Formats: sequence, structure tokens, C-alpha cells
Amino acid sequence: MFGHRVPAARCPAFGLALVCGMLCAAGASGARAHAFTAGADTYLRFVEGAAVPFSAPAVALCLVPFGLLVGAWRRDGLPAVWPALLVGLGVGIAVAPLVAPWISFLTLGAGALCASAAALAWLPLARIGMAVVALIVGLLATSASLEGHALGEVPVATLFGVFFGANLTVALPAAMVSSSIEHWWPDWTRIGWRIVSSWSGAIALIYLAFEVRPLP
Amino acid sequence: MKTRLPFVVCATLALLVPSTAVLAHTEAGVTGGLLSGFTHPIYGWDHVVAMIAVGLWGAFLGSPALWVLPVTFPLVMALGGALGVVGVPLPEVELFIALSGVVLGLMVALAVRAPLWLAALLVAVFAIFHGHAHGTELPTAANPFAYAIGFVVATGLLHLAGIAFGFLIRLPYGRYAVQVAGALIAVIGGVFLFGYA
Repeated sequence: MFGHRVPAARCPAFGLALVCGMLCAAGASGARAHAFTAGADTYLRFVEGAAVPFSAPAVALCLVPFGLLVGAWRRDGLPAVWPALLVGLGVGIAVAPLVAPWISFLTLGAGALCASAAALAWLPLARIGMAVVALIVGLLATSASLEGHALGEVPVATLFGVFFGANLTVALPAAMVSSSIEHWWPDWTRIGWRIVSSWSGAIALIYLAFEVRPLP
Repeated sequence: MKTRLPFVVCATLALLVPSTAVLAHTEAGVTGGLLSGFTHPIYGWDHVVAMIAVGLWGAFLGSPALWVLPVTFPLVMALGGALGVVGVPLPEVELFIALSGVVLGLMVALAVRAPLWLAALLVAVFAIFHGHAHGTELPTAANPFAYAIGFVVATGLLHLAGIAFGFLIRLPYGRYAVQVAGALIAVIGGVFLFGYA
């Protein structure tokens, strides 16, 4: 790391961020992040929301295949479409009161399609096309996570948690795919991720069938 | 050194096939569902030989069939499984499953170099019937998510076991070993096809 320097173009931004941070610190009240009492409810609500995209199979089976898809699409796949994903997640929160349990059919269907595209290397989409996919996936994910809840019904901390959890559920597989392809044996690693994608698509399809007709 | 890793991984996965079930911490719920799904494809020899044959044929045909066939099978099989779960009937399911062992085994035994699209189509057609059979024989009280994961992972590992064995074609006389394995698979398929098992 010797000799590593912050690029000149980023120095003003870094300085600005530093000054903003100092100003915030000056105006803040006593920080009690680790006091285990203050803000505990808020934090628990955040964690509760963040766990939803991981723990709800119908949401996870939509977000993980999309992460696999953008990770395999190109090296900077997720950063290229992240703004669209964020917009989709936001719109999903807004339309959540309108959706019912049928939303899980859409999330699982979208997950199966994303996984199939990643598995069979159907990745000819231009950036705009992948951005549309990101928008749809984001919309489905948060609307399914908050299915039927009215806008003021869910605490803001929980909404932030859902938002954070959804981003993490996409970012983790995307980063694992792109970084492993970049750093290890690219041909074999690509094949490995295609197989993982096909498995995730198959799991989504079978789970979709169980949504239609539950196990006896 | 680098090129040996896939062989080591595949050989390790191949060891999983003949191993017995590990039941040290069997529980209901998620664990029960995972175990139930994992063992479902493994307990039927007609299914096992066909899935291994897919991996063998993929390894025999080389890239891109090496990954196209094992990627196609689970996806299409899941589609067939979904049809079975929701109750859509398919004709002569058992016949096609037994036939898949015979046909895919013969493809390997006779070293048939089919075009990729034809190989993928053949595998996909048989996968529908395998999935349908699994979809109509569901366990009771299993966790559906865990069941789906176990089911798909077991199927994928059987393909990888086939691919691992198929890599023998790179060794002297290994090609014959793979072809003999294909012939054995065809015979086992024939045993099911003509009702001896």
C-alpha cells in the first residue's frame, strides 16, 4: 500500500465530506450507539426490516438471481444499474399497499427469468435494458416485502431496513460473481456461476409451484 | 497447478454419490425438508443413471455442451416438477424416464457427437418427465423452500458426478471407461423400460 494516494479529482469531495462530518459531529447530541438502550427499538425495527428480503423466499428468490445476472453481465454490472434498482425499490414501497399475495408469483417468475438468463448466458442486453430489469426487480422486491401495508403503517426504520436488506441481497451475489470471475479462473468460474444460477432458477420454479399448491 | 482444481472439486463431488445418508442431526422442519428434497432424486435409480448420463455426455461433447446440458436439465426439470405439483398430467411419464436412461446411455456408449441444439433439446424433453415424476410424489409436512433447495442441489451434484467421471476421457483408455459407463446406464435404463425393476 506504500505510495497509494487519493486521486487528485477526489480530493475536493473527500475534503467536503470531512468538513460535513465535522459539522455534524459538532451539532450532534451525545452518541449512544453502544449504550444498548437508547434507540434500541429503532434499531430492532431496522433489523426486522433488513431481515425480510433474506428470510422471505419469494423475495430472496427474486433478488439473488438478479444479483447473479448483473454480476455475470459485466464487470461493473451492479453499479451501472444501481440507480434504477434504487428507484424501483422506492416505487415498490409506494405501491405496496396495492398488492396482495399474488405478488409472490411475479417475484418468483422474475427470479426464474433472471436466473435462466444468467444460466444460459443470455446477456446481450444494453445498459438501458438491464436498467429496466433492475427497476422491475426492485419494484417487485419491496412491494412483496411490504405486501398490503399502508404507507404510514410500517415504521420508517423498518422501511429503511427493507431498503437496506434488498440492496444487500442483490449486492452480495453480484459482487461474488464479478470479483470471482475477475480474480480466479474466468472460464471455470463462469461455468460455476451459470450452474448456481440454474439451480437458483430451478428452486424459484419449484417454490412457485408450492405457492400454487402447498405441500400436503 | 491451476488446471487441476476443477478435477479435484469434481472428484470430491463424485465421492458423494456412493456415500450413505448422514442422519446424525435429523430434525423436522427445515432440516427435514432439506433432507427429504436431497434424497428424493437419489433414491430412484432410473433418475440417478439419467442424471449422471447428462453429465457424462456433456463432458464427452466438451464445451459448451459441458455446461449447457447440466444447466438446462435442472431448469427444465423444475418446470416439469412445477407441472407435476400443480396437477397438470403428462402421458407415459415412467416410460420416458426409463427411455431417457437408455437413450442418454447409448449416446455416451456410442460416442454420439450430436449438435448442441439437438443434445440440449433431447435432455430438456427427458428432464420434463423426470421433474413431473418428482412433482407428483411429494413428501408430507416438509418445508417447501428447504425441500426445493435439497432437491435441486442433489440433482445438480449428480450431474457434476457425471461430469467428473466424464473427465476420464482425457486420460489414456479413459474414453473406453466412459463409454462402458454409458453402456451400463443404457442397460439399467433397459431394465426399467422392460419392467424388470
